[in-house]
Amino acid sequence: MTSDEFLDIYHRARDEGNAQLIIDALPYATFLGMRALEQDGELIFHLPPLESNIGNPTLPALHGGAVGGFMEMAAVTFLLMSIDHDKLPGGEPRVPKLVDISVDYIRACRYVDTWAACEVVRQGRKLANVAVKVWQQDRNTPTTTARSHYLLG
Amino acid sequence: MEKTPLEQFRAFFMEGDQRQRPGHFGRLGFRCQFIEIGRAGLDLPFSPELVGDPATGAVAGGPMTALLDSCCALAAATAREPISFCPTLDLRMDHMGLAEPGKTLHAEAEAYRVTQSVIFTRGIIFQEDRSRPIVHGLVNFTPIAFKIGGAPQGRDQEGEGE
Repeated sequence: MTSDEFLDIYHRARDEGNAQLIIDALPYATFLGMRALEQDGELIFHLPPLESNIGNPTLPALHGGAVGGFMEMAAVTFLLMSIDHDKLPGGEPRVPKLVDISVDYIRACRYVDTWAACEVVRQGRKLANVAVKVWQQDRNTPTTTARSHYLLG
Repeated sequence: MEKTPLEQFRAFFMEGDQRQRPGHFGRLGFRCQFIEIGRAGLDLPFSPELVGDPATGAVAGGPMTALLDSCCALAAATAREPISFCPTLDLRMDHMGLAEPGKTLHAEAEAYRVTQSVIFTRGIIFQEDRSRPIVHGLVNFTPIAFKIGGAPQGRDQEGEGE
């Protein structure tokens, strides 16, 4: 896929308010099996239980890396759907690049439906700071949280 | 002669077809390069499925988090007796460069301090040049043993060289 082809998908996703178009264009997000959905006007993300994402087959629990990857892809998609491209020097976005991520594994992610919500703490001209919260049964009992930085544009 | 717990642990992760391993480990195709007491090396072969940016073909951060978390987990598991896996408390990954598409990612990790309540590990990911890592990571573990898929628990501590 060329940058122009990706930009077409980006603009279509923004125009239609359809974040799933972006996820479908990101191979690793598709690999994880994640989906985007809107809940009470908020863009959130769903990771259905997949055998290929298990880290500990005995519990069973999801792999910390798969959960970390889910959080990163959620943040990337959330940024693309909410980015203010007028702030970017080039005016056109690219897929945000992960600069650093810090993940707290508060409790094990069981082999059940998993959800993520994002908050763009700050979008600058070059970098964005995104906080991600992951939960399973109860949104008020997060299993995993992350703070992360992305290079934009 | 009977294998030591470390030799059993090493054999479990280095012999046979590791792609048959259940879950994320087998699906990503991790290949273990070495396991010593408190040290490990793990490779992640390139796959187009792991690309995070379709315009550049670069692997996403997630597979690298999974790689270094797993590599550090192997280092943490062997850093104390008996050998056993423990849950990740938290991690931090710094991405200092982009992974070149099509090339294997090599991870190396060490447990640099073991206390009663935390196992501290650190590691790097590089492609061709070990002196220029593309990721540097810190992963802390809580030393509560749990068993993974029949991995040996290493009850027998005799005959351990180190």
